[in-house]
Amino acid sequence: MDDCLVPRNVSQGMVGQLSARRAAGVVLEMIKEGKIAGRSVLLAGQPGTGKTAIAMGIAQALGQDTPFTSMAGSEIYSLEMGKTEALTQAIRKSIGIRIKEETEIIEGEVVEIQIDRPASGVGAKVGKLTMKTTEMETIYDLGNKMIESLMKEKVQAGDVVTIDKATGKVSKLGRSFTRARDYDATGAQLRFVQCPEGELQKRKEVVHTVTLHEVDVINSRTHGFLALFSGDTGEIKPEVREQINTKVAEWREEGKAEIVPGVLFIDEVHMLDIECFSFLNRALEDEMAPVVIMATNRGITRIRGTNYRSPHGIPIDLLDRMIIISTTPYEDKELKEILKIRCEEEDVEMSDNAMIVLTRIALETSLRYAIQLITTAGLVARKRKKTEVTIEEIKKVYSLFLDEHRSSQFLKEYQDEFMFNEEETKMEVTPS
Amino acid sequence: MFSFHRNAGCLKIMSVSNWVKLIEEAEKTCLIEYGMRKVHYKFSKGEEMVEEYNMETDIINRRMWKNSSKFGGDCHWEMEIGEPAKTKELSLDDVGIKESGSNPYVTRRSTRNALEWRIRNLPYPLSTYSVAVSPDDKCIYVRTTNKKFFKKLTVPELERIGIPPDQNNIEFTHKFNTLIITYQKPPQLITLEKETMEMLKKLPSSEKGKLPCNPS
Repeated sequence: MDDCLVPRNVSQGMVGQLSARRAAGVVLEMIKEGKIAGRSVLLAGQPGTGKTAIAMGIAQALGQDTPFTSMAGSEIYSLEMGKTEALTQAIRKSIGIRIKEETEIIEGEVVEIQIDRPASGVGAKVGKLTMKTTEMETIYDLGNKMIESLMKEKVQAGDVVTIDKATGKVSKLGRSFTRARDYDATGAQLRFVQCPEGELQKRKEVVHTVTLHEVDVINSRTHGFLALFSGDTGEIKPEVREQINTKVAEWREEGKAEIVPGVLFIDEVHMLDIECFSFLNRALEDEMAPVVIMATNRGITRIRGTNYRSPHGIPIDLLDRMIIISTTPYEDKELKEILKIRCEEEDVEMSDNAMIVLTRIALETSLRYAIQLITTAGLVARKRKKTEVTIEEIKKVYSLFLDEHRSSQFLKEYQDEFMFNEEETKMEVTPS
Repeated sequence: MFSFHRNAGCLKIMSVSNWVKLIEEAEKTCLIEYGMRKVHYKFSKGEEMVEEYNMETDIINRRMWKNSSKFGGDCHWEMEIGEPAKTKELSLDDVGIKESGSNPYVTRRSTRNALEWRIRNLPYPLSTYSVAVSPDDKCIYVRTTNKKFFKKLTVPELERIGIPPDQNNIEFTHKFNTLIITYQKPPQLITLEKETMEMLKKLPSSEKGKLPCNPS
């Protein structure tokens, strides 16, 4: 997305929005340095200007180790749990703990792998795996999942593999030297390794990142059979959370664990109501708070749950804590670039003329509509046995499918003939 | 199936007096049930240990350590001495991979004068095995000449009192598909165990059915 905080014009499928992306790049650096945890960022802009894309870009740039949770504002309204519970879970999903743990691994050379399928074709498969080191040999029984992951890795006799017992992760280290002469032709990236020594099962210290939410779930399940009633997706008791918080703080002090504040992305943030906002206000003050990135496409509107109007539908006090990044509508050059990328993505060949027309359409209606047209025009072209989409196909689908503006025009003209029609109703076009 | 990993490894006891002190300071609960004296220890660092002694012979029958993962959640008791408890076997689909039932497995026993390992499901003749002390990591290595079985045995009792294992104390025999390794207890260990027993006998113990509170 950026090098030295200067965004490239086109990179990794992102186009334009230079100022917004530069701002996001600064935010990203701050997140990486851990300076911003507990603050929030608002992405504001018109529909279809790539707010979600920027957030996704940040997520990708942060890498795998930083927890990134993405949710839509309306997700919190569920019958199964309260609004604040949903928010708490989302927040805790975005805080990671990096911790050292001992796990048991099996490391050895595969002697034989035998998988039996039931003759009828249905039912569970049965598998046996014989592994050896230079000193010993052991037979293992395999469960269904393990069989699948072994097959996916294409493990066969002579391979040296490690299997993580807790997670069931299989990784191939290479082929054993003793089997080097099995085949004449070998792939270039085939590695030959020594057969491991000693015991097959070893203990290894690994560092991994878990989120606070995962720790919560593990600990709330242990409360015996009662967990059966609340289910694992239900609410988690505050006592459990408190216990875990103190435990984590202890680990941190002892240097056993490290806290990794992640990113929580709330799309369509105007869907949250005043209660959620005040909860967020409070949650952001916590010492272990993630970076909250919100996105909205609203201007000055009512805050949900009140009669007050506020910019972006967010209360002023929360707005005050945020860094606001605005996105602006794309220009035609950028639109063309985006459409080109989309075409490549969908394997649609498009003539230059058609591209110009399509860009025009995107400029006048909306980018999303133009992207829809790519797919449909591609289909039409295929039906007409053409290798390329030309202006004709674009014209055809343009007349077949209405864009938002023409659709509302159409409704206004013919509204008498539709059901539930009231004379005074004014069609209000809400942005998507 | 059976490993001598102890989360008590962090206890790091290297002398008799240290271990005695730890046991003395631990929070102990004693219960007498079915002719067994059962003692639960809770150490200051949060580790938990349970011992089970035969009332008639005062010989230890079982000793296990509570092993819970760092994040809490499910914990299990790891056997140091005694047959593993017959708990419900986890289904293969839950664990993904487990050793087949025909594989060798190790159990430990302790008699008045010796520590014993029994490795079952080992069909090879006696001449196949070599049992040797490795002075570097204070373990006993069991090897087979046919390269079918290999095991590193730790001796937690000796580790606790800081005595390295001695090759001369080892004997082994093989019968009924089982390799039996016997290690003569050094005199320090025997006296330590006697002292511990004396201490445990002084503990107030509740008999089954006369518990201070009603067990659920």
